[in-house]
Amino acid sequence: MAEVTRSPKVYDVCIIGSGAAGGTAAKILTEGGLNVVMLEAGPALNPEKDFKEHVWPYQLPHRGAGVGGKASDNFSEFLAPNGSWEIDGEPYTVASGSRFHWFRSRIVGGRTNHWGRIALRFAPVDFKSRSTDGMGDDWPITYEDVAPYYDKVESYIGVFGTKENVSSAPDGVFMPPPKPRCTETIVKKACDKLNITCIPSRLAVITQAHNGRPPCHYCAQCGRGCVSASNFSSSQVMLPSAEKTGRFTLITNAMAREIIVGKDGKAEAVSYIDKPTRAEKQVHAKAFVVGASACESARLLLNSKSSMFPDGLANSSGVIGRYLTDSVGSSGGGFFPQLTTMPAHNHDGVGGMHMYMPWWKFDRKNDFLRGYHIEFGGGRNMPGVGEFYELCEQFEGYGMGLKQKCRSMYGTYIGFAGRGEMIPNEQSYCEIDPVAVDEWGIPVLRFHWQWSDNEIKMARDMQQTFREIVESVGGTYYARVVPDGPNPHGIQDGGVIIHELGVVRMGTNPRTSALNGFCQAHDVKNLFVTDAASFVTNPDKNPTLTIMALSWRASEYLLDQAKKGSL
Amino acid sequence: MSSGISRRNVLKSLAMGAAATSVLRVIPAQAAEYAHHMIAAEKAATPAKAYAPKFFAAHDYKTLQTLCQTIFPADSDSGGAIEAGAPEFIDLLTSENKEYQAILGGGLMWLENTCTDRYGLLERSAERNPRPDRLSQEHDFATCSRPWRRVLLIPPEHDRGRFLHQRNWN
Repeated sequence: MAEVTRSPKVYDVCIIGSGAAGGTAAKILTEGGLNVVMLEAGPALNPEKDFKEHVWPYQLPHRGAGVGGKASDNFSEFLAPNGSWEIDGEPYTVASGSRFHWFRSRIVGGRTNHWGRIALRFAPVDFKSRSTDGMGDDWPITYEDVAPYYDKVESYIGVFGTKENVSSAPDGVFMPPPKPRCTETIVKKACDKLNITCIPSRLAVITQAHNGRPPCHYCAQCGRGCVSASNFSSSQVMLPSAEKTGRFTLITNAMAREIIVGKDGKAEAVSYIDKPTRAEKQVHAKAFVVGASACESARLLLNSKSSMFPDGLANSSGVIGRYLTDSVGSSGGGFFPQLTTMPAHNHDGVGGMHMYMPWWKFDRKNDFLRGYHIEFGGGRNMPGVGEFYELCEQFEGYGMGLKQKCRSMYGTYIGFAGRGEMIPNEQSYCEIDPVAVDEWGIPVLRFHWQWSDNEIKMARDMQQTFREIVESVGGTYYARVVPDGPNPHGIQDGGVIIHELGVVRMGTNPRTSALNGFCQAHDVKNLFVTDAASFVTNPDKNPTLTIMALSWRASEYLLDQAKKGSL
Repeated sequence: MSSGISRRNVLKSLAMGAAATSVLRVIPAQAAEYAHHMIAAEKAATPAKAYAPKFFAAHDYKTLQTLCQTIFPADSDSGGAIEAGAPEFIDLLTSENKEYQAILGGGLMWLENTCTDRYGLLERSAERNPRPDRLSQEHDFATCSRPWRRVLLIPPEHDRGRFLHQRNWN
């Protein structure tokens, strides 16, 4: 057994994870005067070196496809070093009969280096699901509790958007949005015909200089990471402000194994592996903020067993790992003949959509509960490997005919993706695999997954809507979708949308929830879980903005409790 | 090219020089020229070497080049697959991927065999027949070129990637 090195220092707070949750907590806690240490399982990030912004496909030998063409698994080798579906030495398992995929990040900033920057507030009704339709559970907090923190987060990170007064998509503190692209005006026209709400999107990309960050230069490559930090990432926007306080210590390549509890029942240390040396180390603190990403946070707590907490730390309720959800995702796309004659023009914009469709059918009865929003994009993107794959599949021929076809078809396609709310169910959860361990001997997660009829009906509705939008302006709709099989109506496997959350949920009742409304463990006062593990439901809004709002709120509460000496 | 000009400086000039009011704004000409020269300088720093195929034997590589040329030729407006470096790209990826080796290595043998059976003269067509148009008269060729195009144009594994991986996923 390796010798355990103890750090003699006791920090005020130890944060596990450097993404949206951890980064926000680091900023608030250090600015509040606390000494903070952060553990990150991956290496440091060097944007100048790691980000492949503005690199052309032909400048890389593999053109973005990766060694052996394998990078398509992780989207593309152009992307920020954000993580992947499979990590060497760190397996996870999926129970037979289930389909689940887990995208994990191992780098400072975590998945915020690559995320789509879609920054949507939850609506008031999203916190009151059970009261509204009898399914799932209500949150212990309301929109009014979180709204001031949405304001703070948006003001600090910078989000563009417009005031629209759509009840399913509350307005926020917005910078001016970019103008719609040509493709987006076509879709907007279709939506107007169909009475579908289509409004400027809300993305964490700054369109004006903000806190020393230059505005977006519209290269449309946010997913590659942004060297000028004009879009939001924890690594470039949250952590620098923590570092500025002089009270922040970042330990990279530190894989947390277990949170250790003292005789008083409070958390007192984290045991972690220093990856380069494989040495077992410990860091001590007076309070702990877990933000390792929802399922990783659940794993850490479930693996932190002691005589006081035989089922895992803060798990007297037994809910840790349960109520796992992801967004309902289904997609398709259309050919728009009016785009074939569109003159070539700069179509770049920000690295994401300039318009989107918030949930618009909240005022009527649908054949499913809850709702979804629609993201879309297309047109004259930077062509990459795979750009004309569909065309070549369909077009019989080669030579100049094929080339002309590629020219005329380039930029004529618009893809649509629905993102809907899944209702938590008893069949979707994660637990510690009884056998499998990672390369440091840490037990890994096993996933169980099942969509319910509600989600499948929602996916069907998405497909119908996409088709209506495309056809209403003379386009042809394409989707490889069948009504049955493992992915009915194109519903993606669990986890694929990378909105997996809810496995350490908050609630008022300590028997049915692990955390209170401030993300504080019911069982362990000095332990907080501030990532999306704490979510009670998974509304159709992308979770990142709410993660930051909840982490900000929890951190202010932690500061207040620390000052009162009541942790 | 002055070494004092870093990528970051260029970025800054791109961001600062643009008019704040216009959204789909034009990159300032000076900054664009900067970036252009920077890339040209980087390229010039590495002497161009002829690509040495890693997987395909010499005559197979020539066949590959001819196929690329035939499937996606140059014209007066732009280069074709050869100018874009498709043969190098295909060879590099194939050298690293067993599945492609089976499809492409085996496929090329099948193609040669089929051509030899049918046309005799056309064996090793790339070397001996500089005019691929005779091949291209045969509709069959469209079918047998499919595996090539399939690998040339790798499908993204996840369908969200197919539509959205360039800019619009989350």
